[in-house]
Amino acid sequence: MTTPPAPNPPAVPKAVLKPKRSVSLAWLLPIAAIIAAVWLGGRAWSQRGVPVTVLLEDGHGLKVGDAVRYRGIAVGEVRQVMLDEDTGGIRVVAALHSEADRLARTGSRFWVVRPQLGLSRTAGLETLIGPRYLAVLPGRGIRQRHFIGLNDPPIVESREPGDLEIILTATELGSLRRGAPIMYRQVRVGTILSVGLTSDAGGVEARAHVEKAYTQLIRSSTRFWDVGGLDATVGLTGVNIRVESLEALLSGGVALATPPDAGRPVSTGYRFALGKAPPQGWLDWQPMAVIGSSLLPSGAPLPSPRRATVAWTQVRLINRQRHRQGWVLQTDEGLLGPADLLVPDDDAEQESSILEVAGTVLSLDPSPSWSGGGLAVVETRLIRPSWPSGRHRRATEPEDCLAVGDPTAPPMPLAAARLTLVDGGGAWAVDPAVSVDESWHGAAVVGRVDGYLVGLLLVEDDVARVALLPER
Amino acid sequence: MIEAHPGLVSCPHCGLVQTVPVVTVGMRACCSRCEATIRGRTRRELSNSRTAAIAAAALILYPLAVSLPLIEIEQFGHTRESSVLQGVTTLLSTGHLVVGIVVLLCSVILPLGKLAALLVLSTGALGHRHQTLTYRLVDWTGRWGMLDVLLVAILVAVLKLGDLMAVSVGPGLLAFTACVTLSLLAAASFDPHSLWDTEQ
Repeated sequence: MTTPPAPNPPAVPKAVLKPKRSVSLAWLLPIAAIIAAVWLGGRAWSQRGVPVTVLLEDGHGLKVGDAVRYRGIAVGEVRQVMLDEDTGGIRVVAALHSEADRLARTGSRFWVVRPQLGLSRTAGLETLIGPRYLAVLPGRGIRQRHFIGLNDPPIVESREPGDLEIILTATELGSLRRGAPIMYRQVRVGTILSVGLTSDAGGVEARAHVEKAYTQLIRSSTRFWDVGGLDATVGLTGVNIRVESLEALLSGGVALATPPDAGRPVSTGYRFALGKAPPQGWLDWQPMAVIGSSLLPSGAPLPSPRRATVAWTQVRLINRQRHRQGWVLQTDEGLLGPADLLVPDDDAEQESSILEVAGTVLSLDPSPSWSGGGLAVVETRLIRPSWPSGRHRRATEPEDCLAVGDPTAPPMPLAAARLTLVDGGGAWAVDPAVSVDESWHGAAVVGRVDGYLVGLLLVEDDVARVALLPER
Repeated sequence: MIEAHPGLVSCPHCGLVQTVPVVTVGMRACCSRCEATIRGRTRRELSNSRTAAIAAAALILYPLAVSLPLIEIEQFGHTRESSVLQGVTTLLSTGHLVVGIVVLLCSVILPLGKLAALLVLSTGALGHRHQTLTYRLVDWTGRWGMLDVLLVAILVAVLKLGDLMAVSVGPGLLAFTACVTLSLLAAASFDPHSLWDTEQ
């Protein structure tokens, strides 16, 4: 028997030989993965934040994920909220972003911002709908990580060195409240920080804070009286109602007055008695106290420039009336102001330039008593008081200064970094990033270190420069 | 019984049965139809270096993918962010034990197992019998590990919830997507024939 021959297998294709590839490209993937992992992980690690523990008595609805804010900007977030066994309060662990690490210092204050509706204070309304947040005010000490939070937001948010704290004593509470205003001629100059009974139960005392700009007003013979609520006298001729201000009506308040023979300046902790009624004739008292600024040293006055307008007839084919406005300052030598205000223009008609300042009209003559470097002085004594010559200073290198235009408006600070010496030492150019408009033309510029006058701010075509006083 | 004809190999990609000549140094044998590499490396190296590389990359990214937040939701100023692990802990701690365990298994443990098994298989560290079992494990976890399903779920959430509240992508989503993609690629590039190639 023969086995049938095995059938030939059908033609089988044959694999082809090709050169090898050396290293598989796929190994790029783990390398890319390592780079990606390191980058993502590093970023997540650096955003972890610095942990800070705050002990609070009441959580006020704070929860994990709420923000920590400084001046309204989120600088961190709450990571844990738990009960604290030791004190029975609430322990909040928050993580501050790493660049906000310097907010956590000895003296930093933390509190929960929540809606507060009250007659004297309405605040935190954004938290009615939105989440509560933890607010922080940094202290000035060394780094610290554990804090005890405040129960209420601090009354005075910024304490400057040079602010004054005094004690007011009274026989009864009257309208003294935490947060009540202290007013001078109905302008708020300070706040009541806290109120309580004296330790010997003999009366009520309140700690009061007076802002740095007004500390010169408080002297040993200053009188304080309670002006909260309203004062009504009913008589046969009718009803007479007196109210100090709406704020005082609702939240209480204290007014003060300083007599002309004021006495010496007081230091922190000086005690004043709170009266019930104002002293007679206090509205006429002129204490001649210096109202300064929180940006200047204590006792340094601010200059009071006056608004001036110069008008002249410009000689052209058709004569035109022109005018220009700015600030001028009365000094011992005369009126100091920008040259384009005090010196008549070359193309002005003869004798046509007139200067209106402080309610009087002056005719300008072409040669003032002095001019140079964009400034000029006109010999005249119009305004009292004048800025004393002793408070002038020749400055060379740019320094931190204040520009004072409108005496009732806040002065504009000019940082030394924004000023550059130009004109061979005669002026400082102001960085164009600082927006100075024409209403500042002629503003007096005083150095922040001592309050001395160093020059005037001249603004031309929205370019500002400080023209420096020359050597006298 | 058909005896295995020596020298006949089916191409792993197109399936064509062909003979493979002796491979000389520096050369590789390619399929005559689809030109994929059949022979030319040692058994372990064939597709395994690629699988190992991809599986290693996926494993490197895996811890970040499950622990960094995937999405951040903001409504009325309240911000919440959640990662896969945080989601699982939330489910378990609020009492949803069954759902939590299922999510933990399918989204965290099994994908990790699949990647680890692929890496081990492709580097050839196991003995022959264990290899087959491990390969079955890879197959099984590939079906039950639902990392890619989770990605689709997040996409749906972002699209739908975006009308009601502000939804933004978290830092972990990049790693998560890369992990899912690499996991799929690793399984696709693994050639099971390398497990039982007795030649070369």
